[in-house]
Amino acid sequence: MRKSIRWRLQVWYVLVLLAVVIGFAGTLFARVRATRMRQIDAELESAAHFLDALLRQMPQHEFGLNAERPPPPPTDRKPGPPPRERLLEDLVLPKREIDGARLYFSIWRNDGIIVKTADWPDGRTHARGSISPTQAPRLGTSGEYREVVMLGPSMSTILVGKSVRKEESELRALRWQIVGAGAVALVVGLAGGWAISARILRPVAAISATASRISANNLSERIDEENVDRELSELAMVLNATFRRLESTFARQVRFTSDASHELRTPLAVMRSNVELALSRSRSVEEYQETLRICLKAITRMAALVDGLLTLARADEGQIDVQPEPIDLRPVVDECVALLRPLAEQHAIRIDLNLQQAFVRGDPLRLGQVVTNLVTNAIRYNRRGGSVTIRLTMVSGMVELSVIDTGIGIPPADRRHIFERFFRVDKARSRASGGSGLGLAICQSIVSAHSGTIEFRSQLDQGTTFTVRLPAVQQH
Amino acid sequence: MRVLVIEDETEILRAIAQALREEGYAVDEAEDGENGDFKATSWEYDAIILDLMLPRRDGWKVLQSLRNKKKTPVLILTARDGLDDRVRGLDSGADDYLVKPFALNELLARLRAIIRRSVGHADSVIQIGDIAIDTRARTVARNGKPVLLTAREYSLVELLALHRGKVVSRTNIYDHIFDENDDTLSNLVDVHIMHIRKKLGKNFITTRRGLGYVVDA
Repeated sequence: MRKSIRWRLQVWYVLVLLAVVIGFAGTLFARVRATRMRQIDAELESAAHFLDALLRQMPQHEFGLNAERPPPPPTDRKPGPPPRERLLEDLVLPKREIDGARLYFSIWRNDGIIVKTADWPDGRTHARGSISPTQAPRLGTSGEYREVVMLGPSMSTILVGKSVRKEESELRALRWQIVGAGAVALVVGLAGGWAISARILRPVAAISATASRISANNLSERIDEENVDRELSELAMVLNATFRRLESTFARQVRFTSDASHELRTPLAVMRSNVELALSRSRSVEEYQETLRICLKAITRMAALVDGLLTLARADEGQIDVQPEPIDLRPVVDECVALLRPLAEQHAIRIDLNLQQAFVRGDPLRLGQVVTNLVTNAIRYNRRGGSVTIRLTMVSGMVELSVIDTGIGIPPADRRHIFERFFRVDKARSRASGGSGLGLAICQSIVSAHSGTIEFRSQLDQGTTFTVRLPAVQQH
Repeated sequence: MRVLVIEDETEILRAIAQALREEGYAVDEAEDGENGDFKATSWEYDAIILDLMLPRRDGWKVLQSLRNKKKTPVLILTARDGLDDRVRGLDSGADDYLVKPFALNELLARLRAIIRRSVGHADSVIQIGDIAIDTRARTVARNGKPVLLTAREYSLVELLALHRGKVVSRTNIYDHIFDENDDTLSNLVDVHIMHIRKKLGKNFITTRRGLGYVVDA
């Protein structure tokens, strides 16, 4: 199964949420427990100090805390302070059982004899055993009991304790409550996360739905860039730009097919209608000859068109044969121009040549085609008595071929279409002069197959300059 | 029948025009959209053959401007294929559509069909009393026996028959059976009527003095 963003989001969400819930619950529980314990400890300590203070107020000898110093024998029976038994009897802790179990305590003499014990819970032994009291109260836990031990007056030992069973069970209950609440928070959070991820991914789903609706027949549809979030609107814009490019490429392709069918069918229509007319009854020899002349003209036109289309198709497929050996462009240009001189004379156009040696890597036949096309255009779209200048130079590592005419120029509106297949500035005129509408498209294809560029500058009624640049090759 | 052909390919225009003339049509020609538009809107043609790719004003615009003024049947010629063009052509008010390269015979048949439909006849044979006019074969028979007519005479008979029951004026007849290249006088129409009456019977065509002629009144 492919990884789903939604699932991945959810897994991350689960992990983060789990960590947060556990951390929060753990901290909460620990804080509550610590607070509770501090309360108990404070209570125990204050009880121990209370006992200590009470003991210190009592006459030591009477209390008999010190084994080495027995109390002096009673000298008189005058009413005095109560006997020590009474004192110890009366020794109680103030009632401190508002919350929780009653405090218990024991007091040992310095020789380990227990002198007082009160409220010991059942089952809790109170052996002094291991207790080694210190001056400061020392706290400890033993089973369910929390106890504090400290040194009292005359090296006596005071122990105060308390059962924490109730607190422990309260904390246990709290723990389960926290776990339950955490689980609920986790479940609610997960459901929310699932819903949020669905909500976040909804525009993505909408975009992909629109994108999948856009097909060859429906390239004009666009993804809504306005109503999505910024991150997604960038994606939408990128996709839309792609669709725009696709649409224009597709439209160009459709137009090309349509134009090509028009251009190929027209000469066929010429031939068919004229031949059918000629055959519909018997004709004179002159009429048949006229029909054949018309057919020959149509065939020539079609042959040129098929040649052009094949050249373009080859160039599109990268089948232009660029030879590895450097060739000199000068004789190529010379040869082409020589063949075009009769056409130039027919139009009363002067041809000026300014050629240097220029070596390039390429196919001399194809490059000759470029020269022929450009010069033919320069002659055809010139005015009578005008001139065509052909310049071949080397400029910073590039061979530059310029064809400059003094002709009618290209209207600004048509300039960006000039290299499109079958584009003609003046349809009637160029067809009458035998143009196929493919010449410049072919030039561009051939030049770019040679890693070169072709561009033009044009001024209406002043003339047009086409410039071809090709990478130059050093001749050894 | 007078037909306008608007087509910028000279050789195709020439072939269509000659074929139509040999079929007895009066044919006017236009080599660009502007000229074609002008002629189409200023004359009463029986049909117009219109190429779509035209210099100066394309066929769509010519069709549009024609449809704003007239109902002349239009047959579109195009070298483009694709359903869109065909649907658009018929939707814009063209009566039929033919893709180049077409057969001349098909062009002629479709042309006859749109002319017949425009005057409300679906059948290619028009029967008026004992006279049967076969517009496909361009022949006329009386009581089943073929009658030989000249191309002009036939055109006149066909014109009156297609508008049977309606008075057709002399100018109208003149406009429909002679094209822009004919330089004749309108009394030639009277001469043709006379010849037709000789061949098809005196009562086939009735004269409405000062108005014109009518068949099957």
